[in-house]
Amino acid sequence: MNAVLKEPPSTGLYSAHQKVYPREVSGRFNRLRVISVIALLGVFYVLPWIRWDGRQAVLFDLPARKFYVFGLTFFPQDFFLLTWLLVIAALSLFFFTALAGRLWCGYACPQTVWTEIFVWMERWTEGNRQRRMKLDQGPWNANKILRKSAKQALWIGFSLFTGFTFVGYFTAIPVLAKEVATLSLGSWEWFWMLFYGFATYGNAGYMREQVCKYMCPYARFQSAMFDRHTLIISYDAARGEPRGSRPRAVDPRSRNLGDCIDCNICVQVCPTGIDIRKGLQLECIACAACIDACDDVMEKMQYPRGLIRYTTQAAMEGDKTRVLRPRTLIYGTALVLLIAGFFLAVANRPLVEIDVLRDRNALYRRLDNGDIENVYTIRLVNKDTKPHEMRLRVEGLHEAQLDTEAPTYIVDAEGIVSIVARIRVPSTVRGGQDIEVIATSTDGSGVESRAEARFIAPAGI
Amino acid sequence: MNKRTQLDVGVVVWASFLTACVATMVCFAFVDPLLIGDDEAPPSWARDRMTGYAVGFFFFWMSCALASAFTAFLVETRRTDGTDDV
Ligand code: SF4
Ligand code: SF4
Repeated sequence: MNAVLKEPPSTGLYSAHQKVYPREVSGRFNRLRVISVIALLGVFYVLPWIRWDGRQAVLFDLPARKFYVFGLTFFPQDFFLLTWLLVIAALSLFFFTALAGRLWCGYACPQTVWTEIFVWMERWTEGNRQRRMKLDQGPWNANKILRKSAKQALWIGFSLFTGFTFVGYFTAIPVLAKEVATLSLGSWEWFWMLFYGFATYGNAGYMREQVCKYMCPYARFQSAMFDRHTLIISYDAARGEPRGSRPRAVDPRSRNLGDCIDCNICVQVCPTGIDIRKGLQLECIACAACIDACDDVMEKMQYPRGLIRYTTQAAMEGDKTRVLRPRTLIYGTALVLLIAGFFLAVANRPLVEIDVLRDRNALYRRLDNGDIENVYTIRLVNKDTKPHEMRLRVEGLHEAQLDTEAPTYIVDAEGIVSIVARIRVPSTVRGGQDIEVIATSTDGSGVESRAEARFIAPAGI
Repeated sequence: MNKRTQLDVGVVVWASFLTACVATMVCFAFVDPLLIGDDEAPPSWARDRMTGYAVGFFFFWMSCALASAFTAFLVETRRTDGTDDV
């Protein structure tokens, strides 16, 4: 555990949960989050409706095992690209965490983003913090029933729409929309739509900060990426203490007081219900709501802003904050290399991919004239949007010949062809040999792709 | 069920869910559920691919949950008389 963070008391993890009623807040960072929420959710809800080359721009067609991302088509064979992408995502998270702390949590995590929207809906129907608390404590009268059901209607409707959009990444969304309208969805479509909708409803409506506290793996390991120069949100205790209330006109120094007027607003706005003045805690998702709230108070008191602010441990201790340091340089360089490599790999993907599988049933066969034969199943996967005519040949073994039923094969656009190929060598070949099977286009498009395979001949005499 | 057990169950279900998602993705990136088995016909539990994926997913979830629960059980019931220095 890094020294910057205070461990929560171990009993705290298992203490009874108290509902958090985050108070509404306005200010610079809140504006930033609103923009981020709208942009990210906008992309999520709009993307499946965008069309490209006459079909859905982003579609993960699981039944057909094809994945469309704008102009590109991916097949399960491209799985390493996805792995690569995930490594890039993980490394970016490390990089940004080392640089700026839990930026991800405060502005971009789906948990934060959907919770924010759900809190908005809660506010529209149940009112501000005070009203929400009173409503929850009050009796079930007409007003409470009305407000609560309005909230539930909004939440459930939005969750279902979210589930629908989610499934729309896997099933053509216009078709899905028609199926929803006529209630003729397939059983798996129903299942995943309700499943994802319910997960959204539960996580954003009820679990909220508990997801961050109990379920999120990132929340547990992010502190390993922190150091003295990482951007954190911190309360300036030297300036704020001793805290205490005072009339506005009074000079705090004359009463031996710091700048914190102990109004508790920073605690009330906190979505995770913690007090930032107790120091940086594991629960803090760095949403900066307390900064906005405190700046507001400071302005009203006509004190300078920034009693709670983005800073670093080094700065708090009077040192200079270093952005360039071994950790950020290493993460940054690795990140740039990986991203560049990824684009290169995507750009250089063979348009027609070849897979070679040796026949499992027989090691080899001796023909009447003494030649030795191995049988292979060769799969050609055409990732292009045009058909290609392909011819096969073998390399790497002297005098080896490859025979197929037809001289060439046409692989349809995004199609797959399975070919049985026989490779023959003279009887003098012994033992296992490495060969290469090559598919070349005969239509002048210059497509070529190779795969390694093993040829098995009888062992030495 | 006391609070602690409830939380353990939650953690087991959740951790195994995450692992199962990854396992499903990796597994079916390489294996087409319709081509599992020795004979030419798809296996009886995977009439179509979506069913195949789903069966695979729930199989992974169950296996991971079992491992996860077993771990939780062993961790929670280990000796606490101070002879283990943990
Ligand atoms: S703690 Fe985890 S779930 Fe919560 S905001 Fe951060 S990344 Fe998201
Ligand atoms: S302490 Fe401040 S920054 Fe941290 S979660 Fe609470 S309001 Fe957000």
